Amino acid sequence: MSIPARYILRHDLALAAIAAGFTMPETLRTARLTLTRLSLRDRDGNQQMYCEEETARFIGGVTDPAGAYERLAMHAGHWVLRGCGSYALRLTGEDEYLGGAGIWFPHGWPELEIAYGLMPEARGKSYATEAVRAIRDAAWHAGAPSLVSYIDPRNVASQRVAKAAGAQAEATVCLSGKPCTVWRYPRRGAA
Amino acid sequence: MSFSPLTGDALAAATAPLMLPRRIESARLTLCMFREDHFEALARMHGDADTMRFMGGPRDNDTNWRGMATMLGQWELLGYGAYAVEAHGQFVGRCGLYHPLHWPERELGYCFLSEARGQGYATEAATAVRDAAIAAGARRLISLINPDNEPSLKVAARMGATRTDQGDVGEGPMIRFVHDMRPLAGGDITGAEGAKPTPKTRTKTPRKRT
Repeated sequence: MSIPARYILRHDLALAAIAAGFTMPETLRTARLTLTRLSLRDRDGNQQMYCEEETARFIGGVTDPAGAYERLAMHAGHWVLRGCGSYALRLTGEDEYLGGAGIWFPHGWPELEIAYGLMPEARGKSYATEAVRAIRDAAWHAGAPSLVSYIDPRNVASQRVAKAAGAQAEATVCLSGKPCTVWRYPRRGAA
Repeated sequence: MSFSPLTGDALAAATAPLMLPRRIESARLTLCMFREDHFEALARMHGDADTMRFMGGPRDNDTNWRGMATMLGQWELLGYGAYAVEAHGQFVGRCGLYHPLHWPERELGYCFLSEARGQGYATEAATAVRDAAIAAGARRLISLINPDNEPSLKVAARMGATRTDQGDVGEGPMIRFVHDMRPLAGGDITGAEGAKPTPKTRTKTPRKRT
């Protein structure tokens, strides 16, 4: 995948930040949630999320258990290579997997992205917004040069989350062959 | 046709927990964790149609980076995985244990850059990983090899692996080879934290399995 020309500088800044040691905390806590670096503990929840058409639709598409497991391993490796990655979301002190959220920046990705996906039964409770705000703040604190979310124009629920976390729609780009809107998080204090 | 599922002792041996050292030194090679600076050479290797002929065909760079992350992530999840193989400080290939969910069991696999072939690196690296696995208590390891992949068949033969059955994991027909996992006569092998390399104790000709 090639990076749109207007985002090459930001892409290179993200790579430079990672090379300089950009590291996200392995655990984040919000008022209600505990976010933990994705691990083997999250295998079943991760599988449910990626193997259900409706849930997986906007987070890479539905796959089979083998594909879901591969994505779990990939996210674990993303943490090692990038110093950041996906967290499992749970209510503090509880075991139920509510979904995943974190920083996504694989090869060919234009900028550091805050990505998120929730299990159907965990929706409508503002968990995603709460998680995204915590991830956004931690990422700024860790030295992220820029932060965006890439959202399918049809994914209204996700746009609501980005907006509630302070992001603004900037442009529509083509990522992995699909159109998506760039939602940009303004720097702390800049908005 | 998928491989027949394991039962009994083979199943117990194939699924016992396993922790491998994250770095192994052999006579000429260093086996270590993948790093970002291995990516370019890895992508070149996995982008080469000839190299990938028996492994599902060449892959693009985005897929290759995710593949590298997946290999690395498997270490985080399972405690074993694939190593980047270096000779004289340069990436020459990959070798180690692969265990996707749709694989019949954990597999000792290897793949080398075209310019690094013909020097016995694959045999040396795969033997080092097998021996590290034996030292870590592994009792069963297999390799899945396409029946037309002559160089890889030779590696399995040199290592004394035994051909058992045939199946498909989505990358064409594969022969399952079971590796010779008898304990090493010389005790510890290289790779354990701080351990010094010790001479190989296996004979060159494959020994009969008991």
